[in-house]
Amino acid sequence: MKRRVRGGFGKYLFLATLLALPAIAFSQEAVKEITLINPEGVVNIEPMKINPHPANLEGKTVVLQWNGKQNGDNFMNQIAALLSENVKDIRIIKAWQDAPEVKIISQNPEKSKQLAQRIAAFKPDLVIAGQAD
Amino acid sequence: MGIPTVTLATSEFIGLSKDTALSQGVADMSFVVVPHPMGGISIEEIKQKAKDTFPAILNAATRWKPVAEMPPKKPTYPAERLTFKGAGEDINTLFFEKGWTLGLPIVPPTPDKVAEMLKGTSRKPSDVLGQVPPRMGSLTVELVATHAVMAGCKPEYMPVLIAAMEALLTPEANWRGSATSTGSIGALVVVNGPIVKEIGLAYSQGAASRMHHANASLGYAIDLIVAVVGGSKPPSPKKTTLGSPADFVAWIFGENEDALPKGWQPYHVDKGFKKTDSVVTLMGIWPPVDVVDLWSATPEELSNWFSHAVSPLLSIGGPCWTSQMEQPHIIGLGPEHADIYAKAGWTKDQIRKVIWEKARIPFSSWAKACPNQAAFKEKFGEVTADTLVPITLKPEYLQIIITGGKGQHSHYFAPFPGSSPVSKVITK
Repeated sequence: MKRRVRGGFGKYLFLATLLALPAIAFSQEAVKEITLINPEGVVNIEPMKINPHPANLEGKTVVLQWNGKQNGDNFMNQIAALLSENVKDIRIIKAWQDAPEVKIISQNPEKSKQLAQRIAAFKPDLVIAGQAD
Repeated sequence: MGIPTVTLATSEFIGLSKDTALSQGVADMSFVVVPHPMGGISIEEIKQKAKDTFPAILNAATRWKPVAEMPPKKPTYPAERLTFKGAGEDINTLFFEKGWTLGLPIVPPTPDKVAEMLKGTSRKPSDVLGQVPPRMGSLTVELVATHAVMAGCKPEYMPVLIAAMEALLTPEANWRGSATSTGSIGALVVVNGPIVKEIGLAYSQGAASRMHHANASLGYAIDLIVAVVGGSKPPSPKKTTLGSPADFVAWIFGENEDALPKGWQPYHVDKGFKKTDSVVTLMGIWPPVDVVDLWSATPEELSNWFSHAVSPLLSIGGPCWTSQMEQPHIIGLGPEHADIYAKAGWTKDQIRKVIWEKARIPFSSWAKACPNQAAFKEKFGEVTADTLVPITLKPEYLQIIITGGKGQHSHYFAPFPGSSPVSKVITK
Protein backbone atom coordinates (compact mmCIF):
# COMPACT_ATOMS: atom_id res chain seq x y z
CA MET A 1 0.00 0.00 0.00
CA LYS A 2 2.75 2.43 1.04
CA ARG A 3 4.84 1.62 -2.06
CA ARG A 4 1.91 2.29 -4.40
CA VAL A 5 1.18 5.65 -2.73
CA ARG A 6 4.83 6.74 -2.86
CA GLY A 7 5.22 5.75 -6.51
CA GLY A 8 1.95 7.49 -7.40
CA PHE A 9 2.90 10.69 -5.58
CA GLY A 10 6.31 10.81 -7.24
CA LYS A 11 4.76 10.60 -10.70
CA TYR A 12 2.39 13.45 -9.90
CA LEU A 13 5.24 15.58 -8.55
CA PHE A 14 7.33 14.94 -11.66
CA LEU A 15 4.43 15.79 -13.95
CA ALA A 16 3.61 18.98 -12.02
CA THR A 17 7.22 20.14 -12.20
CA LEU A 18 7.40 19.40 -15.92
CA LEU A 19 4.26 21.43 -16.57
CA ALA A 20 5.45 24.33 -14.36
CA LEU A 21 8.85 24.73 -16.01
CA PRO A 22 7.72 26.96 -18.94
CA ALA A 23 5.74 29.16 -16.54
CA ILE A 24 8.73 29.52 -14.25
CA ALA A 25 11.02 30.37 -17.17
CA PHE A 26 8.47 32.90 -18.50
CA SER A 27 8.03 34.75 -15.25
CA GLN A 28 11.67 35.01 -14.17
CA GLU A 29 14.32 36.65 -16.38
CA ALA A 30 17.80 35.44 -15.58
CA VAL A 31 19.76 37.62 -13.18
CA LYS A 32 22.80 39.10 -14.87
CA GLU A 33 25.56 41.59 -14.23
CA ILE A 34 25.80 44.44 -16.72
CA THR A 35 27.78 47.68 -16.98
CA LEU A 36 25.75 50.78 -17.77
CA ILE A 37 26.61 54.42 -18.40
CA ASN A 38 25.23 57.07 -16.06
CA PRO A 39 23.34 59.40 -18.40
CA GLU A 40 23.13 62.37 -16.03
CA GLY A 41 26.32 64.29 -16.78
CA VAL A 42 28.30 66.15 -14.13
CA VAL A 43 27.61 69.67 -12.92
CA ASN A 44 30.78 71.75 -12.67
CA ILE A 45 30.02 75.35 -11.87
CA GLU A 46 32.36 77.99 -10.52
CA PRO A 47 31.17 79.05 -7.07
CA MET A 48 29.92 82.61 -6.84
CA LYS A 49 31.09 84.89 -4.04
CA ILE A 50 28.29 85.78 -1.64
CA ASN A 51 28.33 89.31 -0.29
CA PRO A 52 28.00 89.85 3.48
CA HIS A 53 24.78 91.46 4.68
CA PRO A 54 24.79 94.73 6.68
CA ALA A 55 24.43 94.40 10.45
CA ASN A 56 21.48 96.81 10.38
CA LEU A 57 19.56 98.92 7.84
CA GLU A 58 19.57 102.30 9.66
CA GLY A 59 20.68 105.05 7.29
CA LYS A 60 21.11 102.50 4.47
CA THR A 61 19.85 102.55 0.87
CA VAL A 62 17.63 99.61 -0.05
CA VAL A 63 16.51 98.93 -3.62
CA LEU A 64 13.28 97.00 -4.13
CA GLN A 65 13.20 95.04 -7.40
CA TRP A 66 9.98 93.79 -9.07
CA ASN A 67 10.04 91.48 -12.12
CA GLY A 68 6.68 92.62 -13.46
CA LYS A 69 4.60 89.63 -12.33
CA GLN A 70 1.13 90.40 -11.01
CA ASN A 71 0.91 91.99 -7.55
CA GLY A 72 4.68 92.05 -7.07
CA ASP A 73 4.54 95.85 -7.04
CA ASN A 74 1.71 95.89 -4.51
CA PHE A 75 3.67 93.56 -2.25
CA MET A 76 6.84 95.62 -2.56
CA ASN A 77 4.94 98.85 -1.91
CA GLN A 78 3.78 97.37 1.38
CA ILE A 79 7.32 96.25 2.26
CA ALA A 80 8.54 99.76 1.48
CA ALA A 81 5.94 101.21 3.88
CA LEU A 82 6.89 98.75 6.63
CA LEU A 83 10.60 99.44 6.19
CA SER A 84 9.99 103.20 6.45
CA GLU A 85 7.93 102.74 9.62
CA ASN A 86 10.37 100.41 11.33
CA VAL A 87 13.86 101.41 10.24
CA LYS A 88 15.33 104.80 11.09
CA ASP A 89 16.65 106.97 8.23
CA ILE A 90 16.27 104.20 5.64
CA ARG A 91 16.28 105.29 1.98
CA ILE A 92 14.11 103.18 -0.30
CA ILE A 93 14.33 103.09 -4.10
CA LYS A 94 11.65 101.28 -6.09
CA ALA A 95 13.65 100.15 -9.11
CA TRP A 96 10.63 99.74 -11.38
CA GLN A 97 9.70 103.42 -10.91
CA ASP A 98 13.13 104.96 -11.36
CA ALA A 99 14.30 102.46 -14.05
CA PRO A 100 11.25 100.83 -15.73
CA GLU A 101 13.55 98.82 -17.99
CA VAL A 102 14.38 96.50 -15.05
CA LYS A 103 10.77 95.41 -14.67
CA ILE A 104 11.17 92.31 -16.84
CA ILE A 105 12.07 88.64 -16.86
CA SER A 106 15.65 88.69 -18.06
CA GLN A 107 15.44 85.56 -20.31
CA ASN A 108 19.20 85.04 -20.57
CA PRO A 109 22.39 85.48 -18.50
CA GLU A 110 23.55 88.49 -20.52
CA LYS A 111 20.32 90.35 -19.88
CA SER A 112 20.44 89.35 -16.20
CA LYS A 113 23.87 90.95 -15.97
CA GLN A 114 22.57 94.14 -17.57
CA LEU A 115 19.67 94.27 -15.10
CA ALA A 116 22.04 93.74 -12.18
CA GLN A 117 24.32 96.52 -13.44
CA ARG A 118 21.40 98.90 -13.75
CA ILE A 119 20.27 98.14 -10.22
CA ALA A 120 23.84 98.45 -8.95
CA ALA A 121 23.94 101.96 -10.43
CA PHE A 122 21.58 103.04 -7.63
CA LYS A 123 24.45 102.20 -5.21
CA PRO A 124 22.28 100.22 -2.79
CA ASP A 125 23.49 98.69 0.47
CA LEU A 126 20.96 95.87 -0.05
CA VAL A 127 18.56 94.71 -2.74
CA ILE A 128 15.28 92.99 -1.98
CA ALA A 129 14.12 91.25 -5.16
CA GLY A 130 10.86 89.46 -5.96
CA GLN A 131 11.21 86.47 -8.32
CA ALA A 132 9.01 83.95 -10.11
CA ASP A 133 5.20 84.09 -10.41
CA MET B 1 29.16 93.68 -7.74
CA GLY B 2 29.49 93.46 -3.99
CA ILE B 3 25.81 94.08 -3.20
CA PRO B 4 23.98 91.68 -0.85
CA THR B 5 20.44 90.58 -1.74
CA VAL B 6 17.36 89.10 -0.18
CA THR B 7 15.27 87.18 -2.72
CA LEU B 8 11.55 86.63 -2.27
CA ALA B 9 9.84 83.64 -3.89
CA THR B 10 6.46 82.05 -3.32
CA SER B 11 6.17 78.58 -1.78
CA GLU B 12 5.41 77.08 -5.19
CA PHE B 13 8.52 78.57 -6.78
CA ILE B 14 11.12 78.37 -4.03
CA GLY B 15 12.35 75.02 -5.44
CA LEU B 16 12.96 76.57 -8.86
CA SER B 17 14.58 79.59 -7.25
CA LYS B 18 17.05 77.43 -5.32
CA ASP B 19 17.78 75.27 -8.38
CA THR B 20 18.43 78.41 -10.42
CA ALA B 21 20.78 79.78 -7.78
CA LEU B 22 22.67 76.48 -7.65
CA SER B 23 22.99 76.43 -11.43
CA GLN B 24 24.71 79.81 -11.24
CA GLY B 25 27.23 78.73 -8.62
CA VAL B 26 25.29 79.86 -5.55
CA ALA B 27 25.00 76.95 -3.14
CA ASP B 28 23.30 79.03 -0.48
CA MET B 29 21.23 82.16 -0.97
CA SER B 30 19.21 84.46 1.24
CA PHE B 31 15.64 83.44 0.39
CA VAL B 32 12.38 84.41 2.06
CA VAL B 33 9.34 82.32 1.19
CA VAL B 34 5.94 83.97 0.71
CA PRO B 35 2.82 81.75 0.63
CA HIS B 36 1.59 81.15 -2.96
CA PRO B 37 -0.14 82.71 -4.86
CA MET B 38 0.55 86.35 -5.47
CA GLY B 39 -1.39 86.69 -8.74
CA GLY B 40 -5.16 86.80 -8.77
CA ILE B 41 -5.66 87.81 -5.13
CA SER B 42 -6.95 91.02 -3.55
CA ILE B 43 -4.83 93.94 -2.43
CA GLU B 44 -5.89 93.28 1.16
CA GLU B 45 -4.52 89.73 0.97
CA ILE B 46 -1.29 91.07 -0.54
CA LYS B 47 -0.89 93.58 2.29
CA GLN B 48 -1.47 90.87 4.88
CA LYS B 49 1.12 88.58 3.25
CA ALA B 50 3.61 91.44 3.22
CA LYS B 51 2.93 92.16 6.89
CA ASP B 52 3.30 88.48 7.83
CA THR B 53 6.54 88.12 5.84
CA PHE B 54 8.18 91.36 6.96
CA PRO B 55 9.92 90.01 10.09
CA ALA B 56 11.55 87.26 7.99
CA ILE B 57 12.68 89.83 5.43
CA LEU B 58 14.24 92.04 8.11
CA ASN B 59 15.95 89.03 9.63
CA ALA B 60 17.30 87.89 6.26
CA ALA B 61 18.48 91.42 5.44
CA THR B 62 20.70 91.74 8.49
CA ARG B 63 21.39 88.31 9.98
CA TRP B 64 21.63 85.82 7.13
CA LYS B 65 24.96 84.06 6.51
CA PRO B 66 25.70 81.34 3.91
CA VAL B 67 26.29 77.80 5.11
CA ALA B 68 26.30 75.40 2.13
CA GLU B 69 29.16 75.13 -0.36
CA MET B 70 29.28 74.06 -3.99
CA PRO B 71 30.17 70.36 -4.47
CA PRO B 72 33.66 69.51 -5.75
CA LYS B 73 34.16 69.34 -9.51
CA LYS B 74 34.26 66.02 -11.37
CA PRO B 75 35.67 65.09 -14.80
CA THR B 76 33.12 65.42 -17.62
CA TYR B 77 34.55 62.49 -19.57
CA PRO B 78 34.28 59.60 -19.49
CA ALA B 79 30.82 59.38 -17.96
CA GLU B 80 30.50 57.35 -14.79
CA ARG B 81 29.96 53.62 -15.25
CA LEU B 82 27.79 51.63 -12.89
CA THR B 83 27.43 47.91 -12.46
CA PHE B 84 23.90 46.62 -12.37
CA LYS B 85 23.10 43.16 -11.07
CA GLY B 86 19.59 41.93 -11.58
CA ALA B 87 17.02 41.05 -14.19
CA GLY B 88 17.18 43.09 -17.37
CA GLU B 89 13.62 44.29 -16.92
CA ASP B 90 14.63 45.95 -13.63
CA ILE B 91 17.03 48.34 -15.38
CA ASN B 92 14.10 50.51 -16.40
CA THR B 93 12.84 50.54 -12.84
CA LEU B 94 16.26 51.60 -11.56
CA PHE B 95 16.67 54.31 -14.17
CA PHE B 96 13.21 55.73 -13.48
CA GLU B 97 13.82 55.81 -9.73
CA LYS B 98 17.05 57.73 -10.34
CA GLY B 99 15.28 60.25 -12.57
CA TRP B 100 17.06 59.03 -15.67
CA THR B 101 13.98 58.31 -17.76
CA LEU B 102 10.72 60.09 -18.57
CA GLY B 103 8.54 57.23 -17.35
CA LEU B 104 8.71 55.39 -20.69
CA PRO B 105 10.98 52.37 -21.38
CA ILE B 106 14.54 52.98 -22.54
CA VAL B 107 17.22 50.83 -24.14
CA PRO B 108 19.87 50.22 -21.45
CA PRO B 109 22.98 52.27 -22.35
CA THR B 110 25.85 49.81 -22.20
CA PRO B 111 29.37 50.97 -23.15
CA ASP B 112 29.27 48.71 -26.23
CA LYS B 113 26.00 50.20 -27.47
CA VAL B 114 27.27 53.75 -26.88
CA ALA B 115 30.52 52.97 -28.73
CA GLU B 116 28.47 51.73 -31.67
CA MET B 117 26.33 54.88 -31.60
CA LEU B 118 29.45 57.05 -31.61
CA LYS B 119 30.37 55.61 -35.03
CA GLY B 120 27.63 57.86 -36.40
CA THR B 121 29.71 60.99 -35.81
CA SER B 122 33.28 62.11 -36.38
CA ARG B 123 33.12 64.24 -33.21
CA LYS B 124 35.27 63.20 -30.27
CA PRO B 125 33.23 61.66 -27.44
CA SER B 126 34.99 63.97 -24.97
CA ASP B 127 33.82 67.14 -26.78
CA VAL B 128 31.60 69.23 -24.49
CA LEU B 129 28.68 70.81 -26.34
CA GLY B 130 27.70 72.95 -23.36
CA GLN B 131 25.76 72.94 -20.09
CA VAL B 132 22.07 72.05 -20.33
CA PRO B 133 19.86 74.39 -18.30
CA PRO B 134 18.46 74.59 -15.75
CA ARG B 135 20.59 71.96 -13.97
CA MET B 136 23.65 72.87 -16.09
CA GLY B 137 24.73 69.25 -16.57
CA SER B 138 27.74 69.08 -18.91
CA LEU B 139 26.68 67.51 -22.23
CA THR B 140 29.48 65.62 -23.94
CA VAL B 141 29.20 63.88 -27.30
CA GLU B 142 29.48 60.62 -25.31
CA LEU B 143 26.38 61.61 -23.34
CA VAL B 144 24.51 62.54 -26.52
CA ALA B 145 25.27 59.02 -27.77
CA THR B 146 24.15 57.57 -24.42
CA HIS B 147 20.76 59.21 -24.71
CA ALA B 148 20.55 58.28 -28.39
CA VAL B 149 20.97 54.63 -27.34
CA MET B 150 18.32 55.02 -24.64
CA ALA B 151 15.89 56.47 -27.17
CA GLY B 152 16.52 53.76 -29.75
CA CYS B 153 18.24 55.98 -32.34
CA LYS B 154 20.43 54.67 -35.15
CA PRO B 155 24.05 55.89 -35.40
CA GLU B 156 23.29 57.81 -38.60
CA TYR B 157 20.92 60.07 -36.61
CA MET B 158 23.76 61.37 -34.42
CA PRO B 159 24.71 64.40 -36.57
CA VAL B 160 21.11 65.69 -36.41
CA LEU B 161 20.94 65.16 -32.64
CA ILE B 162 24.28 66.87 -32.00
CA ALA B 163 23.33 69.87 -34.16
CA ALA B 164 19.92 70.14 -32.45
CA MET B 165 21.55 70.18 -29.02
CA GLU B 166 24.10 72.77 -30.15
CA ALA B 167 21.21 74.96 -31.26
CA LEU B 168 19.35 74.42 -27.98
CA LEU B 169 22.39 75.45 -25.95
CA THR B 170 22.79 78.87 -27.59
CA PRO B 171 21.68 81.95 -25.60
CA GLU B 172 19.30 82.85 -28.45
CA ALA B 173 17.26 79.68 -27.84
CA ASN B 174 16.59 80.76 -24.22
CA TRP B 175 16.17 77.11 -23.25
CA ARG B 176 16.31 77.91 -19.53
CA GLY B 177 13.04 79.80 -19.87
CA SER B 178 11.40 77.08 -21.95
CA ALA B 179 12.56 74.36 -19.53
CA THR B 180 11.21 76.01 -16.38
CA SER B 181 8.14 77.92 -17.59
CA THR B 182 4.61 77.49 -16.26
CA GLY B 183 3.62 77.16 -19.93
CA SER B 184 3.34 73.92 -21.94
CA ILE B 185 6.56 74.62 -23.82
CA GLY B 186 8.23 72.11 -26.10
CA ALA B 187 11.07 72.05 -28.60
CA LEU B 188 10.32 72.55 -32.28
CA VAL B 189 13.03 71.05 -34.50
CA VAL B 190 12.84 71.58 -38.27
CA VAL B 191 15.37 69.85 -40.51
CA ASN B 192 16.27 70.89 -44.06
CA GLY B 193 18.59 69.61 -46.73
CA PRO B 194 19.82 66.24 -48.00
CA ILE B 195 20.06 64.58 -44.61
CA VAL B 196 16.26 64.46 -44.32
CA LYS B 197 16.01 61.76 -46.97
CA GLU B 198 19.37 60.20 -46.12
CA ILE B 199 18.18 59.14 -42.66
CA GLY B 200 14.50 58.68 -43.54
CA LEU B 201 13.25 61.61 -41.44
CA ALA B 202 9.55 62.08 -42.14
CA TYR B 203 8.65 65.36 -43.81
CA SER B 204 5.33 64.78 -45.52
CA GLN B 205 2.05 63.09 -44.49
CA GLY B 206 1.89 62.81 -40.69
CA ALA B 207 5.51 63.91 -40.37
CA ALA B 208 5.05 64.82 -36.70
CA SER B 209 2.93 61.76 -35.99
CA ARG B 210 3.83 58.19 -35.11
CA MET B 211 5.40 55.36 -37.12
CA HIS B 212 8.48 57.29 -38.22
CA HIS B 213 11.54 55.78 -36.55
CA ALA B 214 13.94 58.69 -37.07
CA ASN B 215 11.45 61.33 -35.89
CA ALA B 216 10.26 59.32 -32.90
CA SER B 217 13.67 58.31 -31.60
CA LEU B 218 15.29 61.72 -32.21
CA GLY B 219 12.40 63.55 -30.53
CA TYR B 220 12.62 61.13 -27.59
CA ALA B 221 16.41 61.58 -27.31
CA ILE B 222 16.08 65.37 -27.23
CA ASP B 223 13.53 65.22 -24.42
CA LEU B 224 15.61 62.67 -22.49
CA ILE B 225 18.61 65.00 -22.61
CA VAL B 226 16.72 68.09 -21.49
CA ALA B 227 15.11 66.16 -18.63
CA VAL B 228 18.05 64.03 -17.43
CA VAL B 229 21.10 66.19 -18.16
CA GLY B 230 19.19 69.46 -17.94
CA GLY B 231 17.03 68.46 -14.98
CA SER B 232 13.83 69.87 -16.50
CA LYS B 233 11.28 67.80 -14.57
CA PRO B 234 7.93 68.68 -12.95
CA PRO B 235 6.95 69.79 -10.36
CA SER B 236 10.26 71.68 -10.05
CA PRO B 237 12.23 73.14 -11.69
CA LYS B 238 9.87 72.46 -14.63
CA LYS B 239 6.89 74.49 -13.43
CA THR B 240 4.58 73.67 -16.33
CA THR B 241 0.97 74.00 -15.19
CA LEU B 242 -0.18 71.03 -17.29
CA GLY B 243 2.61 69.99 -19.68
CA SER B 244 2.10 68.21 -23.00
CA PRO B 245 3.08 65.10 -24.96
CA ALA B 246 5.89 67.21 -26.44
CA ASP B 247 7.55 66.71 -23.04
CA PHE B 248 8.13 63.08 -24.12
CA VAL B 249 8.89 63.47 -27.84
CA ALA B 250 9.94 66.83 -29.25
CA TRP B 251 8.25 68.21 -32.36
CA ILE B 252 10.71 67.15 -35.09
CA PHE B 253 10.18 66.83 -38.83
CA GLY B 254 11.71 67.79 -42.13
CA GLU B 255 10.36 70.71 -44.09
CA ASN B 256 8.42 69.33 -47.05
CA GLU B 257 10.82 70.69 -49.67
CA ASP B 258 9.23 68.44 -52.33
CA ALA B 259 6.01 70.43 -51.96
CA LEU B 260 7.58 73.87 -52.23
CA PRO B 261 5.70 75.91 -54.82
CA LYS B 262 7.72 76.91 -57.88
CA GLY B 263 9.96 79.83 -57.08
CA TRP B 264 9.77 79.37 -53.28
CA GLN B 265 13.01 78.60 -51.44
CA PRO B 266 13.39 76.13 -48.57
CA TYR B 267 13.46 77.59 -45.07
CA HIS B 268 17.21 77.17 -44.62
CA VAL B 269 17.89 79.01 -47.88
CA ASP B 270 15.64 81.85 -46.66
CA LYS B 271 17.95 81.98 -43.63
CA GLY B 272 21.08 82.27 -45.74
CA PHE B 273 22.28 78.66 -46.02
CA LYS B 274 23.07 76.83 -49.28
CA LYS B 275 20.42 74.52 -50.65
CA THR B 276 22.89 71.63 -50.40
CA ASP B 277 23.51 72.29 -46.70
CA SER B 278 21.78 70.09 -44.16
CA VAL B 279 20.49 72.36 -41.40
CA VAL B 280 18.58 71.93 -38.15
CA THR B 281 16.53 74.79 -36.67
CA LEU B 282 15.32 74.70 -33.05
CA MET B 283 12.97 76.99 -31.12
CA GLY B 284 11.02 76.74 -27.85
CA ILE B 285 7.31 76.86 -28.73
CA TRP B 286 3.83 76.97 -27.27
CA PRO B 287 1.56 74.09 -28.37
CA PRO B 288 0.98 74.70 -32.09
CA VAL B 289 -2.36 75.83 -33.48
CA ASP B 290 -3.84 73.61 -36.21
CA VAL B 291 -5.28 76.12 -38.67
CA VAL B 292 -8.08 74.16 -40.31
CA ASP B 293 -9.47 75.81 -43.39
CA LEU B 294 -11.43 73.58 -45.74
CA TRP B 295 -13.34 76.38 -47.47
CA SER B 296 -11.11 79.26 -48.51
CA ALA B 297 -10.50 79.39 -52.23
CA THR B 298 -8.46 82.58 -52.50
CA PRO B 299 -5.34 83.89 -50.74
CA GLU B 300 -7.39 86.72 -49.26
CA GLU B 301 -9.92 84.34 -47.69
CA LEU B 302 -7.19 82.01 -46.42
CA SER B 303 -5.20 84.90 -44.90
CA ASN B 304 -8.35 86.19 -43.25
CA TRP B 305 -9.08 82.85 -41.60
CA PHE B 306 -5.46 82.20 -40.70
CA SER B 307 -5.28 85.53 -38.92
CA HIS B 308 -8.34 84.78 -36.77
CA ALA B 309 -6.95 81.38 -35.84
CA VAL B 310 -3.68 82.66 -34.45
CA SER B 311 -4.66 85.87 -32.69
CA PRO B 312 -5.40 84.17 -29.32
CA LEU B 313 -1.67 83.50 -29.05
CA LEU B 314 -1.20 87.20 -28.52
CA SER B 315 -2.14 86.78 -24.87
CA ILE B 316 1.40 87.04 -23.64
CA GLY B 317 2.53 89.54 -26.23
CA GLY B 318 1.63 93.17 -26.46
CA PRO B 319 1.84 95.16 -23.25
CA CYS B 320 2.39 92.04 -21.15
CA TRP B 321 5.55 90.72 -22.79
CA THR B 322 6.81 93.01 -25.50
CA SER B 323 9.72 90.65 -26.26
CA GLN B 324 7.37 88.22 -28.01
CA MET B 325 6.56 90.93 -30.54
CA GLU B 326 10.25 91.30 -31.39
CA GLN B 327 11.15 87.72 -32.21
CA PRO B 328 10.38 85.34 -35.09
CA HIS B 329 7.18 83.28 -35.18
CA ILE B 330 6.88 80.35 -37.60
CA ILE B 331 3.98 79.76 -39.98
CA GLY B 332 3.88 76.13 -41.13
CA LEU B 333 1.87 76.18 -44.34
CA GLY B 334 0.39 72.86 -45.41
CA PRO B 335 1.12 72.15 -49.11
CA GLU B 336 -2.51 72.59 -50.16
CA HIS B 337 -2.72 75.97 -48.45
CA ALA B 338 0.65 76.93 -49.99
CA ASP B 339 -0.77 76.06 -53.40
CA ILE B 340 -3.69 78.48 -52.93
CA TYR B 341 -1.17 81.27 -52.44
CA ALA B 342 1.24 80.11 -55.16
CA LYS B 343 -1.44 79.70 -57.87
CA ALA B 344 -2.41 83.35 -57.29
CA GLY B 345 1.24 84.32 -57.69
CA TRP B 346 1.78 85.30 -54.04
CA THR B 347 5.27 85.33 -52.59
CA LYS B 348 6.20 84.58 -48.98
CA ASP B 349 6.68 88.32 -48.40
CA GLN B 350 3.13 89.04 -49.53
CA ILE B 351 1.74 86.32 -47.25
CA ARG B 352 3.68 87.67 -44.27
CA LYS B 353 2.50 91.22 -44.89
CA VAL B 354 -1.17 90.35 -45.26
CA ILE B 355 -1.32 88.02 -42.26
CA TRP B 356 0.57 90.59 -40.19
CA GLU B 357 -1.95 93.25 -41.12
CA LYS B 358 -4.96 91.04 -40.33
CA ALA B 359 -3.82 89.08 -37.22
CA ARG B 360 -4.60 91.76 -34.64
CA ILE B 361 -6.72 92.16 -31.54
CA PRO B 362 -7.92 95.32 -29.79
CA PHE B 363 -5.67 96.74 -27.09
CA SER B 364 -8.58 96.50 -24.66
CA SER B 365 -8.24 92.68 -24.81
CA TRP B 366 -5.28 92.79 -22.46
CA ALA B 367 -5.71 93.07 -18.70
CA LYS B 368 -5.02 96.45 -17.13
CA ALA B 369 -2.39 94.80 -14.93
CA CYS B 370 -0.11 93.99 -17.89
CA PRO B 371 3.14 95.48 -16.61
CA ASN B 372 4.89 96.68 -19.73
CA GLN B 373 2.45 99.29 -21.02
CA ALA B 374 5.14 102.00 -21.17
CA ALA B 375 7.65 99.81 -23.02
CA PHE B 376 4.92 98.69 -25.41
CA LYS B 377 3.84 102.24 -26.22
CA GLU B 378 7.45 103.27 -26.72
CA LYS B 379 7.83 100.61 -29.43
CA PHE B 380 4.35 100.62 -30.93
CA GLY B 381 3.09 104.11 -30.30
CA GLU B 382 0.12 105.53 -28.45
CA VAL B 383 -2.96 103.32 -28.30
CA THR B 384 -6.62 103.54 -27.39
CA ALA B 385 -8.85 100.70 -26.27
CA ASP B 386 -9.83 100.08 -29.90
CA THR B 387 -6.33 100.14 -31.40
CA LEU B 388 -5.66 96.84 -33.20
CA VAL B 389 -2.33 95.33 -32.06
CA PRO B 390 -0.38 92.94 -34.37
CA ILE B 391 1.35 89.67 -33.39
CA THR B 392 4.80 91.07 -34.11
CA LEU B 393 6.17 94.55 -34.56
CA LYS B 394 6.99 93.90 -38.21
CA PRO B 395 5.93 91.31 -40.83
CA GLU B 396 9.50 90.12 -41.35
CA TYR B 397 9.25 88.30 -38.00
CA LEU B 398 6.77 85.83 -39.54
CA GLN B 399 8.88 83.01 -41.00
CA ILE B 400 7.26 80.51 -43.39
CA ILE B 401 7.95 76.79 -43.82
CA ILE B 402 6.06 74.04 -45.67
CA THR B 403 4.80 71.41 -43.23
CA GLY B 404 3.14 68.02 -43.59
CA GLY B 405 1.26 66.42 -46.47
CA LYS B 406 -2.20 66.40 -48.04
CA GLY B 407 -5.09 68.03 -46.19
CA GLN B 408 -6.21 71.61 -45.75
CA HIS B 409 -4.35 72.30 -42.55
CA SER B 410 -1.56 74.66 -41.67
CA HIS B 411 0.09 75.20 -38.30
CA TYR B 412 1.23 78.17 -36.31
CA PHE B 413 4.26 77.86 -34.04
CA ALA B 414 4.42 80.74 -31.56
CA PRO B 415 7.75 81.18 -29.78
CA PHE B 416 8.37 81.08 -26.07
CA PRO B 417 9.41 84.62 -25.04
CA GLY B 418 13.07 85.13 -25.79
CA SER B 419 13.39 81.90 -27.81
CA SER B 420 14.45 82.58 -31.39
CA PRO B 421 14.73 79.88 -34.07
CA VAL B 422 18.43 78.94 -34.02
CA SER B 423 19.87 77.18 -37.05
CA LYS B 424 23.00 74.99 -37.13
CA VAL B 425 24.64 73.23 -40.04
CA ILE B 426 24.60 69.45 -39.60
CA THR B 427 28.06 67.92 -39.98
CA LYS B 428 28.93 64.27 -39.94
